[in-house]
Amino acid sequence: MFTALRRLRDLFRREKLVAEFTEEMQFHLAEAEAEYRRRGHSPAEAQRLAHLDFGNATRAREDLRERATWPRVEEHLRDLRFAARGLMNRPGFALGVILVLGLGFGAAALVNGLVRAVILSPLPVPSPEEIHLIVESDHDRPERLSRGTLARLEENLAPDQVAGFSGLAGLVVQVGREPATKVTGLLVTGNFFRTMRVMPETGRLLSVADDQRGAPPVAVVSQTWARERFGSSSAALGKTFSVNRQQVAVVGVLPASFGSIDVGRTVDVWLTTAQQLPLRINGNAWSIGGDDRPNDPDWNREERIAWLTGLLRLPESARAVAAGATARAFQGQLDAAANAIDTAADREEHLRRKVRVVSSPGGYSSLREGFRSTGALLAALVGVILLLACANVSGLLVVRALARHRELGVRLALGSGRWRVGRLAMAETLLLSAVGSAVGWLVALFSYAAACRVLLPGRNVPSLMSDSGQLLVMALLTVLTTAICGLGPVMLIARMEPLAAVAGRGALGHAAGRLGRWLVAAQLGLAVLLVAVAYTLGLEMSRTLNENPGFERGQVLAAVFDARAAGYDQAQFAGLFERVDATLRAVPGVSDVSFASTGILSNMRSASGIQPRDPRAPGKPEARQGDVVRPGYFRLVGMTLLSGRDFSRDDRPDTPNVVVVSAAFAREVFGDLDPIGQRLGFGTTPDQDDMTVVGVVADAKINSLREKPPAIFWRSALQLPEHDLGYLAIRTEGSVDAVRGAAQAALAQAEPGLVFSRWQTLDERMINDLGAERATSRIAGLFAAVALVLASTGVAASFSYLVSIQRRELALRLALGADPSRIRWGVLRDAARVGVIGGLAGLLAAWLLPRIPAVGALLPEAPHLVVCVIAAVCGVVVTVLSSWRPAHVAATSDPLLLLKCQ
Amino acid sequence: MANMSDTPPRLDVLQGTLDLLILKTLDTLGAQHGYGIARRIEQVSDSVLSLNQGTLYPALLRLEQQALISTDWGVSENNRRAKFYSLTKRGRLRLGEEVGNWQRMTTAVNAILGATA
Repeated sequence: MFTALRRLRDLFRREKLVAEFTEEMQFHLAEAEAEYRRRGHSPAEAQRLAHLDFGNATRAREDLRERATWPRVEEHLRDLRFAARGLMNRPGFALGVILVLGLGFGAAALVNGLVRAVILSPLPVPSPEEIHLIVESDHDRPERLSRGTLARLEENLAPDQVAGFSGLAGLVVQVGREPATKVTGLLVTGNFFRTMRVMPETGRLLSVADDQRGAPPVAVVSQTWARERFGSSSAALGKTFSVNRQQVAVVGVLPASFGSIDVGRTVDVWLTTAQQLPLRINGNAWSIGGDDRPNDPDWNREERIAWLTGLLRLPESARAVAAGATARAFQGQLDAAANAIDTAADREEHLRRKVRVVSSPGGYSSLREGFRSTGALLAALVGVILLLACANVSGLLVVRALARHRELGVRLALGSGRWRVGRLAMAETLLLSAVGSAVGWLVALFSYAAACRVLLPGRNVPSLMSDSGQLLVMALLTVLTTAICGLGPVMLIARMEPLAAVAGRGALGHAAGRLGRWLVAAQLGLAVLLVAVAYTLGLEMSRTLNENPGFERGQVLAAVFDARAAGYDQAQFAGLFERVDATLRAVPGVSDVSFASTGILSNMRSASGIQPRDPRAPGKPEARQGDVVRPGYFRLVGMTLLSGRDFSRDDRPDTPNVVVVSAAFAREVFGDLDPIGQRLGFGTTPDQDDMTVVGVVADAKINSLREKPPAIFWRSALQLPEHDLGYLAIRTEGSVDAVRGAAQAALAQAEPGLVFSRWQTLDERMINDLGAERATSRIAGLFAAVALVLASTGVAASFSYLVSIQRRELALRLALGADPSRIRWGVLRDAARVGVIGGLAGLLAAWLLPRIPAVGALLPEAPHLVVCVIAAVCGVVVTVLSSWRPAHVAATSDPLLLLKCQ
Repeated sequence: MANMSDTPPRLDVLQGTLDLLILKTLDTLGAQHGYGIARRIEQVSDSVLSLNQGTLYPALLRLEQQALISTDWGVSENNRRAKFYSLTKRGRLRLGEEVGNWQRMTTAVNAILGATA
């Protein structure tokens, strides 16, 4: 390999090498001469002897020159130079092919870069292949672990092999007297950064000493946040700021390269797990317990609360030991929590849970799971575009080969081998593919950021557009494209009859015409397929957005907040909500205000184990989604009450507990029984906390438009005055934007320490919820448009040439008095026939492909037959329109002129 | 071929052994120019080995292409610009292998020559 590369290098600096050799030889002879003179020889004799010792200088020079040559490579380089000259004589043709290929390569490079960045990019830490995560046995999702599990693991592994981190936490921070804002925070164990082997940009990182109960609260912050808030990384060092109303000191700043372990997401503030209780962080956890078995509020001391993800750095030798140690440590967590589980069946199921240690050089990202299908669909679309570009270019190259039939015929007739002539055609294709690939790569490089904004909003995805992997993919695609595109011309040359070619008579038989028509039909088929897929995606998107989600969308404005993080304690919650309610009702345009715990399309949900008390009810005791809302919430968000009643202000902590359920909940839990009046409870036996169902609300797509409406129950916030509500809903009248601004201003003044974020109408939340699908649908539409343009240019170019190679026949017919309109219609009929074949092929592909399970999984639904037919008709129309000009040229040419040319 | 001194008849360098001689010379002397290498081979062999010095340069280029030696322009003892060759890490490893091979070969040839009926 070394030798081959260096020989290749020397090939390009051969003359320099020879010049250097000449200089070396002169030096050598001068030194030898001097030596002989020192030994008493005369200058003439010394010179003669030196030359005699050196031997034949010309031969040495030729030997050296030969070492710096590579006959085969040089031959290929000559071919490439010749091809380049040929293409420069036809700049329009070359530019057209490069643009078509550049489009295909650009799309491929972009999607490949995106998919690799999201799915394959490793963590920016040393030896990322050593990073492992502890995940659930049947998924690749991280298993939530208790602090105790990590401590048990630390006992069995080396100190820098085990670390843990919490789920992302929204923190309310305040720097000096600036308004409070919400940032993304993460709690990590003290040895997290040592395990990751990350170095600080400034200051120091968190240590085990910082992660002790009672240790002074310190934070490490991201470089971006440090610059935004303090001006520079060094200025941030030693500064204190408030996190959830607690003063925290900045001890270090992370380098910009390390955002978090989640691809594309940057954590602003890093704290130790010891700060969980002081900072009142209480989200993203699995807990087993109840009112009768209260858990320790300090999660670091509670085995029944699983809230950390286990991260291991394992060299090859430590992996077997780590797997066993992890299983044993997790068993301790299961055993400790099992005592708090009521039923034997649940206990058994709980104890059956297992964990695995999996290699995770890219860390963990929820984005990957969601992006997998989008990425696969985009890759498939890009594959079709690239194939289309290949078919198009292949058609153009065939046309070019046909146009050069006399020149090629002369070469063959003069004894040039078919292999040699075919190799020249291949060299031309390779050159075009290489330049097209470079153009495509540049286009992708400059459009990468925009594509990320559209497809992955809010993520700062690293760019792998210039790494060796990307360049290798581009090189492979270039070779593949060369092989596909060059096949047509090479096949033609292989079948060319030299003498007929020189004479310009049927040099290629009917093969050229047939090949040209098939290529056009193939392009149309692919374009029809893309149009059908894009149309289906758009149709499905529009239907999802337009169907009734079960709530009102236009005039309802929602925001999220975290009163606990802002420093309010449970006793203050009820008063806070009343104040916010009153503040907002005073804002012009606000007609109603209400609160919920998790709300609608908020990406938050909570669940509790709940069971019906009626033995006739079919619903089994299991964890079901629940929410807590204030009276009037259902009316405000437009959810329909099907039977019973809404919560009222008469439902108080001292009145019997009531609950409202969704229709899906009523069906699943109570079956055919009348849900109104039914009793539900959290424990295995009835007690005073049991609730009575007082209302049933129509189903609504609360969690996501892609999910079916959940079976959910709601409790009244007035019966749970200490419950933390985090979702604000406002009904507006008139302009929503005006109310949004006024409400934000009023709340900033009334509750300056409380941060309300994600102000969106439910309509905007719906659009946001379908963000990735909308982007995919738009890109598919764009690809379909590109496909149609490519297909139409392919049709026009191919028919132009098919007409031009029939010129002799057409001229004769015209000279013999044929009607020009018949000639025109003949060409158009020919085009329509090819269009129909292409349309039918596309229709068949669009109908058949989504029925293959692997392909069907990429699409929300298979294209309807009507859509396929519309796309096929589109294809036929495009073909006929594109062949109009060649048909017109054929019908209006001067027959005498044409015959003279022949 | 000229003789620099009155010595017994000289032998041509065996085909395939020039690389070994160059590598060994560079290992012993460190960085050296082409003339220095040629002189050293003749001196150490006590002028028994006759080297067609011009053939040295294509061999040096071949070794450089194999990354066994590296080159650098410098100034000679006589204050003239000269190209200096030095052994690379890869070259040092190859030298070890080649020396081993040579020793096995000479042992085998000696054994055959020394064998009696």
